[in-house]
Amino acid sequence: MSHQPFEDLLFSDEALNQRQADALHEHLQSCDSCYQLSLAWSETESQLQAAPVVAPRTGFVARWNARLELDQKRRQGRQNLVMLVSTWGSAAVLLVGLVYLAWPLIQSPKIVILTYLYQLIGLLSLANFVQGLLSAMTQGFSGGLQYLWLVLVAGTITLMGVLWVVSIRYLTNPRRVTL
Amino acid sequence: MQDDEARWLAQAQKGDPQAFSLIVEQYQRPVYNLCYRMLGNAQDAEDAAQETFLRVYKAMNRYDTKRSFSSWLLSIAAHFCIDQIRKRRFKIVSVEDLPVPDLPDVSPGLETKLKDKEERLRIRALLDVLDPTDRAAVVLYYWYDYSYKEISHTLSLSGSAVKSRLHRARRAMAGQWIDGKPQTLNAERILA
Repeated sequence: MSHQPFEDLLFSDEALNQRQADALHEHLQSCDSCYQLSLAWSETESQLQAAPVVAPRTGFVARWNARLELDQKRRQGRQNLVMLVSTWGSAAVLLVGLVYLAWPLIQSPKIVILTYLYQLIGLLSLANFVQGLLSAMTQGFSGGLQYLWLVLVAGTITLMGVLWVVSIRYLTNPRRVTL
Repeated sequence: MQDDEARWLAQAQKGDPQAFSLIVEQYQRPVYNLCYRMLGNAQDAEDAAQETFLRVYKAMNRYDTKRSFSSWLLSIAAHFCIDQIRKRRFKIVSVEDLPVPDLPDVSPGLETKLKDKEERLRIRALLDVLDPTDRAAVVLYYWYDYSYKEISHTLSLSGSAVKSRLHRARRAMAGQWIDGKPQTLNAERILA
């Protein structure tokens, strides 16, 4: 005899109809294993239904707050470590790259010194040229024209200064109308 | 209370730890009970409940307000406990050898204490024979009065899977009861 249909009825939490209830009752009268199972389940179910909801020890919330704080500290520490490692790593990579690029120059410093010296001489020559040009222009103007030239230069510098202050103000102050 | 909870949840979603503490206060008992019934001892239950709240706190920005918060919370707790049980599956220890936790005791008498301890052991022995997911289904069904639908949402199972898991769990627990109490059952049979 198959016990499966009766076990299905026994462990179902849906209400049995009269026919099912009668069949189950009849089977339990004749089958010892199913009868024992039925008793066992009945006791088990009442045990489960009677079991209380257990509460944690007092101070659970305080312990949770402490745990959250600890977790946040750990996370912060990890973030700091990652930041430190990535910064030092990037610096090391850049340094290696720089050394790689500058390696031929390091091997022959004479060329480097001469290159920089040549560039310095070029800059000095340019400065000398600009100075000569400006003095020629000022000497070229006579009397009132020289005075006008000075006013023009001073006016231009003042205008540039005002424009600079206004630009800074516009850039740093928030806009009054938000779109 | 519902309004308070909604406000706490909204504040917690913005990262307010004090609002979340109020949520912990509110739900500590159901979460702890689920963990205790799943894991079987007070220390593991405490750790699991704390970890559950920590995970929920970190995942608050992913919480869908249309869903019930308690279901979401218990779902995280249940899945965490299922993972914990699976991790320790290979450690085979007899139920009798395990320490029975000292739960907050409201009964002054020694006899009541012993009775409580015996009942806790019996419940634990019943639940210990179950697969972790079946155990979660049983706990949600018998302690939280969850419907099949709610259990299926909480444990990410289909409705028919919940039904068959509960059926299997009942059969296994009844079998465990017979193995644990043969004399009582025979005596009852004779009396019947």
